[in-house]
Amino acid sequence: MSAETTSPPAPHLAKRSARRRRAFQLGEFRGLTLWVGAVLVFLYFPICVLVIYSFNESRFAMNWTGFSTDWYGRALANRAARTAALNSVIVATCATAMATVIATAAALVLARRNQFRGKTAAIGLMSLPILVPEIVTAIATLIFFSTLGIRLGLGNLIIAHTVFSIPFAFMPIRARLQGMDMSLEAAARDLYATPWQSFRLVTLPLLAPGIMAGAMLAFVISLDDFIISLMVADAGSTTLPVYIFSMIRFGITPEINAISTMLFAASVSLVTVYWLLSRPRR
Amino acid sequence: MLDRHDEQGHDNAPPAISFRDVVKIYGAGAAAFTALHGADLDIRDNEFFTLLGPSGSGKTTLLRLLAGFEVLTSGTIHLFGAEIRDLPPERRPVNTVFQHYALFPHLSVAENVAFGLKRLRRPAAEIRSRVAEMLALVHMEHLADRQPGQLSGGQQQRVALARALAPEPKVLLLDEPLSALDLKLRQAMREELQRLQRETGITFVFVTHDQDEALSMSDRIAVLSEGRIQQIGTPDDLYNRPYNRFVADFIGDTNLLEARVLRRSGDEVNLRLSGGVEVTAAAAPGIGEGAQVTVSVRPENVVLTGAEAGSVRARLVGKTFLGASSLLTLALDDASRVTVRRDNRMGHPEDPETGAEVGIVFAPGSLRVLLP
Amino acid sequence: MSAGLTETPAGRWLALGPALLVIGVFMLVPLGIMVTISFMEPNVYGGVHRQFSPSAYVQFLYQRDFDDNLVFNPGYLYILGRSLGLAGLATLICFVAGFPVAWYIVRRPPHQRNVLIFLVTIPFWTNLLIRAYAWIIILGRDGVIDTPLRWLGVMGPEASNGILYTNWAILIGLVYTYLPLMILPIYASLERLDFRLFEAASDLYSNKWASMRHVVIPLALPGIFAGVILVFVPALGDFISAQLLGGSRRLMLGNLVQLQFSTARNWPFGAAVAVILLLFVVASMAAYLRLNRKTGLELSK
Repeated sequence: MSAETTSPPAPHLAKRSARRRRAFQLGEFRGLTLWVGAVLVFLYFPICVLVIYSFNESRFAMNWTGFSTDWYGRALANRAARTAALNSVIVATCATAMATVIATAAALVLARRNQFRGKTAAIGLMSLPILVPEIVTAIATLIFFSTLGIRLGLGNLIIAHTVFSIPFAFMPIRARLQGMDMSLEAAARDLYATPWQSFRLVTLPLLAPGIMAGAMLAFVISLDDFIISLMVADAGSTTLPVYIFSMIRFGITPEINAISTMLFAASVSLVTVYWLLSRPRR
Repeated sequence: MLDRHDEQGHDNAPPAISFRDVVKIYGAGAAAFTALHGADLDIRDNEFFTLLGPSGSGKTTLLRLLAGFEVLTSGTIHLFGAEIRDLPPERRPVNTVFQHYALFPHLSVAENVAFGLKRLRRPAAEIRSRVAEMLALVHMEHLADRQPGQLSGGQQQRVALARALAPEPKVLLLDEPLSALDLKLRQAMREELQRLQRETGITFVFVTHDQDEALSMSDRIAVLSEGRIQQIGTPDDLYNRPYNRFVADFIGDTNLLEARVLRRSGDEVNLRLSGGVEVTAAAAPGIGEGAQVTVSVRPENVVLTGAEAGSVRARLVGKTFLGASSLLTLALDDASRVTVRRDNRMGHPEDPETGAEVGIVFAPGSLRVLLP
Repeated sequence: MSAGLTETPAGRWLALGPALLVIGVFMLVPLGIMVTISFMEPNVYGGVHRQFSPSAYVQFLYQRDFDDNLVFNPGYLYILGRSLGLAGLATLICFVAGFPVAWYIVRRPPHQRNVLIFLVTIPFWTNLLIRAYAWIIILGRDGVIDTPLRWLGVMGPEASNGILYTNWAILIGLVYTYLPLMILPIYASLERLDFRLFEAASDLYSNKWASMRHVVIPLALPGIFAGVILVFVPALGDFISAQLLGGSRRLMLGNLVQLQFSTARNWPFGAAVAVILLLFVVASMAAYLRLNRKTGLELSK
């Protein structure tokens, strides 16, 4: 081993080679971090602006005059907004309950590996509400209800929301089932459990996180739905997004920002719970 | 660091590859893991060189540093005299056969073999003939249009070899290429690899944890453990002249006996074994008189004698029949154990019964003092 | 799973029944009625005459002049063109912006990956309307983008609404809305990719761009196709971006449909436009399935 190869290189050389070395770190692209940062800024910038301006004192949304929480007070005191919010919660709760039960039953069949006649068609039908553009679903539902003369008030909305929430409830439940140890239920049967007992005592508890996650997702989807509610809801059953839409038409105000921020916070909390539930355990 | 004195005599051509003081640390801070603590190594041109060691010994890291998949923490790597530490893999004239082959699943066998040549922008006609030549070399010409997913493990192995050899690298790196094959195929591939190395004249650097593979194929071997090179030498060197306790123990079976150095004369020392017997053993420089040392002796170099004829007295405590030979376990007076390998040739005297008093002698020159 | 309860045909269809029934009755049947109505004529009260007529589809291409002659009218074709163009462009931008993000995330250690994926999905789960509304604040007159541009003199006072109410504003809204749907499936397919293949490519003289082009992208194609379809289909049927960011005169198909059921009160025409939209969706899906089967076969061969 010769002396000159092991002696440390001059400082300026070391620095240069350190930079060059970084350049060929395999799979690294120069500027990639910057790119990703820019995309994340793009995704969060509008939300941040929305939230910040909800604390604007001025009554014109654009001009920042000072910090204030007045608009939240106004929004919470707004009777129409409260009614709309209540409608949203009622619709989302009912639709979620029905969609989750329906989706769980379907997932128990469709998550299994066996093939049967009509399985592909059944899966196709299950994903139909995701594939059809929302505006098309909205007017088809509108036509359907008005042609048959079905006027159930919130009931119409609940039915419509149930339909398009089913696939969203279905996906995490099916994923959970597919990741489950298939031999557990057989073990329960081996230990003298009836099919119903092994379902209730083994499958259902194991499936519970998936069902919760599916319910969360369905709830968020229903809560956030706008187009279908806009078309299907009649005057007495306005939901919060539809109410926000009608406000936007009269110009943007910090009050809309405040309502939107609260709706945003509700969605994010639910999605966070969903994320924590559906994360693979370690 | 070791045995360099006897290496220098072999030839004066510059080494194909030389590692100097190579350090590789993964991660940083509390999670930092040092995979290599300053490795020095020269590999000659046209050599079948093996990096041998248990998992986590740093052998694969050394290979990946050479290929350019990892970045050196410090030290230098020269390839035919040129410093390559700052070159990305695509600019190094070395190619790799990956452990699980890493064949491109979306390309056919021929397209896989042509991949490197295309990136080098060789003319189409040359690529065609070179691909045909390589596939013929590994006996895969009839499967050129298959996808990798349709091939058996052995066939994938051959395609990986052809793909790595096609661009005529100066050095071929093989990362445990035989580990995924079954035993029979593995043995056939050993001969195949030696043939390819002879025919192509390319320097092969082969990584394995399997000592049989290393001993049977290599011109020279570097044994690694815990991020350090323990010994570099020919298979015969490593087996018969292990440098330290790790090498003696890792390669083949051996008996390790405790002893104290009485006198030193040249390359040899006189020792007193813990049982009181005096013997002569080869020893590296630096082992002085009075030192407490470990001595290695292979089981086949321990010869069984009658109870009175041997230089050491022992009692037979166990026998293991292995077919061609048997292993006998003996207990010495000081309760240490020695294993003896005995040929099972026809007409050989029968093994004594378990419990019998016997004597042993050590074959001349078979004892070696190990560094700790 | 749940052997016994859902393993017999009877149990199976009993469990599947509610889902199929609900979606069948409240989704499939309405779509059928919608298609039927698209072949009828509107009456003056906003209802329909129950007799067959292709007039709604004719109206998409022609209008009647004062002499009651059919004259070719490209107005609705422009809307179709705008929808296809904006959806296509939004898909392209989402791919260009999203692929590097997916690659970046895959190259992180696992715990960071989960957090990053979560960060990417959060905006997706927030209300569509709120997301578009936020862009009004940003892009509109005196908005966050507009004010500094005006102040710097880049944009004159004559640009009364900044870039709000332009096709660009719609495009931004579409990209913003659907970007996560591009990143997620590409991420999923890149995650399955063995990084040793990238090493093998660079070992075989590919620089990182060549490794991307010849190894990573071909193997990520299923994810890329899925991302393209997940962005293109909803972008094509988008309603909110055009409604809020495009102003009243820059319609997309979705707005045209909605208009027929609100102010215009021409159900058959609205249904016909919806059917046309649906046809493009089905065509995209068919192309997707075809491409996917082809690459799938190639990879599994």
